Amino acid sequence: MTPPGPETITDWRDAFVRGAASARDHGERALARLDDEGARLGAVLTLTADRARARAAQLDAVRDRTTIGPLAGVPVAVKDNICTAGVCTTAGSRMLAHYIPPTDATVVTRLERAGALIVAKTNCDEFAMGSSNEHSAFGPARNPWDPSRTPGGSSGGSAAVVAARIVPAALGSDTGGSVRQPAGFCGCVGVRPTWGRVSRSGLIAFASSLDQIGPLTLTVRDAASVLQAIAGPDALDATTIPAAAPDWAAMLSGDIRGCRIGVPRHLFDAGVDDDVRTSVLAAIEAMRARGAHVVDVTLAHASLAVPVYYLIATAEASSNLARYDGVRYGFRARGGADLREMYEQTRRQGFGAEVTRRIILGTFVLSAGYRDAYYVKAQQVRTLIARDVEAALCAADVLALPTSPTVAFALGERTADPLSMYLSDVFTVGASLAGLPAISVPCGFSREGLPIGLQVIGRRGDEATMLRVADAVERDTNAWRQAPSDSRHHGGARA
Amino acid sequence: MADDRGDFDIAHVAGLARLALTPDQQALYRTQLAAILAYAAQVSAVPTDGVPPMVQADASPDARRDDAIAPSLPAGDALRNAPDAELATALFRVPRVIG
Repeated sequence: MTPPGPETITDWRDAFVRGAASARDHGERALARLDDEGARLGAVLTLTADRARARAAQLDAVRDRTTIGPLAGVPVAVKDNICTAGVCTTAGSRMLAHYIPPTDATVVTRLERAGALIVAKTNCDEFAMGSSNEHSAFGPARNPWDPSRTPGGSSGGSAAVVAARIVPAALGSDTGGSVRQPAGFCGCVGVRPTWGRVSRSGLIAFASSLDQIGPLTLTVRDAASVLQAIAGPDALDATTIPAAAPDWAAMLSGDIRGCRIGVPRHLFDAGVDDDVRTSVLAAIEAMRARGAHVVDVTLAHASLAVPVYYLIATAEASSNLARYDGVRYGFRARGGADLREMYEQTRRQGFGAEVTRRIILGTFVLSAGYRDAYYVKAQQVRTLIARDVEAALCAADVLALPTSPTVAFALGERTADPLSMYLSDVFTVGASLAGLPAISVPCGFSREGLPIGLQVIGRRGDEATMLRVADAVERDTNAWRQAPSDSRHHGGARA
Repeated sequence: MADDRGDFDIAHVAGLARLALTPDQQALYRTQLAAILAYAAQVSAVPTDGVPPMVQADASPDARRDDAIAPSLPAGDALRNAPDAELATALFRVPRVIG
C-alpha cells in the first residue's frame, strides 16, 4: 500500500504553495517518518529537527509562497559526508563521530535558498568508500524493497529514504557510482553531474579528481529541479564550471526523435543478470519506438575501468585522508607517548577496515619506486578509457547500459571479499573516470521484485540530453510508480 | 617491497600511512591487497607510450582569481573541534615532538 500523502517534489511543493499544508506540517511529517521507518532502515544518522523547524517557521511567514523557490517547503535529506553548520557530520566514520562543522556546504546553502527543509543526515559507507553501506561505522542501511539486502552504497541511506517515500529528495556523492548504484538498487533516480557542475565546498573529500555531489529523487523531473538548485559556479570551489545551470526540468518533453542512443552490447554478457539484461534491452527498444536511433558502440578498454579506478581513487584517498591526525579535529587516541605514536594509534582506531585497506593501497601506489608503475600508469590508461567514451559519444548523443550488473545483493554477501565488492562498480566507474554526467533511472524489476536501473551517460556539460532520454525511459516504464510497500501485493510484477 | 607475486612489505607501507596495525591486521591486509594488486596487473600490460596521464576531467582551464584579502575562519571556530586545544593562545596541543 502506498502511504497516503505527497510523494514527488512537485506534490510536496504544490501542497505547500496552495496552502493545503504548512512548511511546519511538511517538516514534522518527514521528521516523524525518518525517526520511525528511516531509523528501522538504518538510513538516518542525525535528525536535523531544530534546523528544519527554524527554516519552516521562516517559510510559513512568507505571504506569497509562489515567490519562495522551486523547493518551497520540500523536505530534503543530506548524506552525512556533506557539511551542515552546527550539526554533527560524521562521513560514516568513527574518526568524525563528534565533528561539528563551522560552515555549511555550498549545496546545503543553495537547497535552503531554493526553499528546502534540511531534515536529516543520512547513513553512508565510511568516507563514501563502499558499494553496500556496510562500511559505515554506525551499522548498515537496509534496502526498503527487502531489508535483508543492501540499499547499495555509498549513498545508501539517501537512496533508502527516497525509495521508501519518506522524503522526495536527498543528496548523495558519487565518486565511482555512489549515487547511481544505490539509486538503481532502490528503484529511484540518481544523477552524477558533469565533474565541476556542482560545488564540492563542504563535501568531505575522498578522491578529488572524481568526487561529485548529485541528487536522488523519485522522478527525473525532480532530479532536474534539485540539480538546477545546487549547480553552478562557486567561488569556494575552483573546479566548478563557469556556466550557469540551465532550466533542465523545462526541457523534459518526452521527445527523443532522432536522438542517437549508443549501446555497448559487448558488455552485456559476462556477469550480468538475465533480468537486468532483459529489462535494460526492453527499455532501449522502447526508446527506438519513440523515434530514437539505436547504434552499437564499443568501449575497448572497459574491462580496465575498475582496476584503474581503484588505483587512482585509493591514491587520492590516501592523500586526502592524511589530514585525520588527531590534532585539528576528530578523534584522538589516548596515551600516545609521542606525536608519531599518537598519529598511528589515532588512525588505527579511528578508521574502519575498508578505509584502512584503501589508505594502504593508495599509499603503496604512490610510494617511491612504485608511483610510475601503478599510479601514473593508471592515469595514462584513464586517458584511453576517457577517449573510448568520448569517441562513442561522437557516434551517439548518449550511451545506455545497466547501472549495475546485478540487483541489490544480500547484506554480508560480499564483505569478506573486497574485490567482489569492487566489481559491482563495473558499469559506473567509466563515466566517473571520464568526468561525464550519468543518471540511473528505474526501468523495471527482477523476478523476485527488486528494482533494476538503466544508466544513461551524456556528453560533458550536456546533462540536458541525458535527462531528456532518462525522462523518456521513465514515461515508458513507469517503474518509479511502484513503491516498496506495494511489492508484496504485486508479487514481483515487472513494470 | 613488491615482489613478483604482487606481495609487498605491509609494515613499511603502513608506517608511511601512519597506521599502527596489529599482526593479524597485517596478515589480512597483505593477503587482500596482494589479490587486488594481482587483479590490477592487467593495467600494466596496456601499451601507453606517448599517452598523457589524465590528472582530472578538465573543467575550468583558468581558475585563478584576484589575490584579495577576505575574512577567514575565526581562530575560535577553527579550534572548537580540536581534541586538545588552548583557546586563550589559539594553539593546538600535541604530545611531545622532540625528546
